[in-house]
Amino acid sequence: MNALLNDMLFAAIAGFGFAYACNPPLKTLIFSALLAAIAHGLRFALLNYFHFQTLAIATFVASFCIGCLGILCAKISKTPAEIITFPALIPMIPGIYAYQAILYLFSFIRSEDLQAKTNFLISFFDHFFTTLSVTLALAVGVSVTLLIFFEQSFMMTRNRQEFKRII
Amino acid sequence: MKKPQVQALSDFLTEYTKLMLSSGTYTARVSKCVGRIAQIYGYEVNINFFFHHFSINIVDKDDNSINRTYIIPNKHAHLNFKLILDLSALSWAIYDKKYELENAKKLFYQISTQKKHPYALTLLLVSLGNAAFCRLFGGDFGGFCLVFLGTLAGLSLRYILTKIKIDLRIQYLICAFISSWIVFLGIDANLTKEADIALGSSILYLIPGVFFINSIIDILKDHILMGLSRIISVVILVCCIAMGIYATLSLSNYGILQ
Repeated sequence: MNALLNDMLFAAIAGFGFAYACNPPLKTLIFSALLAAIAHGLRFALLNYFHFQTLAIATFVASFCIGCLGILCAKISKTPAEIITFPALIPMIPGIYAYQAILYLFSFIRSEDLQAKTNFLISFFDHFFTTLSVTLALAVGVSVTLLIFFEQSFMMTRNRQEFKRII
Repeated sequence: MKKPQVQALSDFLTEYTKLMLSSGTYTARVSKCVGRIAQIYGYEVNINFFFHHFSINIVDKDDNSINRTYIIPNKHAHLNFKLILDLSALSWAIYDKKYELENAKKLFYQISTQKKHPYALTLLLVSLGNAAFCRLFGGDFGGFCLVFLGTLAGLSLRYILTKIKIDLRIQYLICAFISSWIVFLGIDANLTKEADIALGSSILYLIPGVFFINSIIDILKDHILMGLSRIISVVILVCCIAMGIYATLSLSNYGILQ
């Protein structure tokens, strides 16, 4: 349980930091941090407690759930859903896998021993396809929700009150 | 509501489209919002989106001989979610309240000139966020501090490079190198036991995740050309990041490359 809470806390900090860089309204920052914690925590739980074998499938489920929750938060805060959900997904980007894939590729190029070369190549493809599948799962998972609620996602910003004061 | 002249409306719509595209939203949203504004003023609008420029055609619904076509270069600015929100809301406000074009222009001017969050705070929060990434992947406290410092230095440098208008790809390359180099110095001084995780996390603040998700939505919503262009540009940036970190690993003769 401690591990899960730890995971959620750091995901929330990462979500908050990266969301802030995109200059969002302050109230959506809280939603982004909250959704980032839920997304990463859900993936952590799926992998460790529900024994999902594939990282990509766990990521897809988490990102789909966050897409749905994002639509709900967007409705409450009258903002476009992508403003809330996209920063929340950033902590799930498989950066470490990508980095290791690159290292194995360079090691493969530099190595001269055939056995070592084969091992590096296998490790490269292993990490590369994990990176690719997780990144695609992440993007498709959230896009599917935006496409299901396509017309509604454009209606979120209707009837905002700010402009009445100006005109 | 008075029907605006085609030239005045064209000027407004081209500026609106340009600003909205530069703020980093997906193409279907831009198309919908611009179409909504044109429709309420009695015009029809068609836009072709490309990565480098967009072409926009505005036609009077009552008299097709009254029309304008422009090809406008795109502006590639930093992500700005507040702009996406305000410009979307403006299109609905024009649609629902039937604002005169002059009033719509006033509102647009106010939205486009609003201030961003202070950069110093952005610097701190993104560095903290990236350091949290390190812990998320299993790094230790030493790695957390190193990644924080590396990100802080990389982001500060990026701010300067943006100010002196250095190409984005070169910026990515240099920043990835500097951030990973700072983390490497810490690893060399034995400040962290999880060297791999600290080095790998040090450059994650550069990964253009939002652009990637936007490009997938573009492809799924049939703006395939724009989506592919965006993906290719993301791949180029990721390659630049890889080259930056490879430079660190080569210069430092770090164990994993031996």
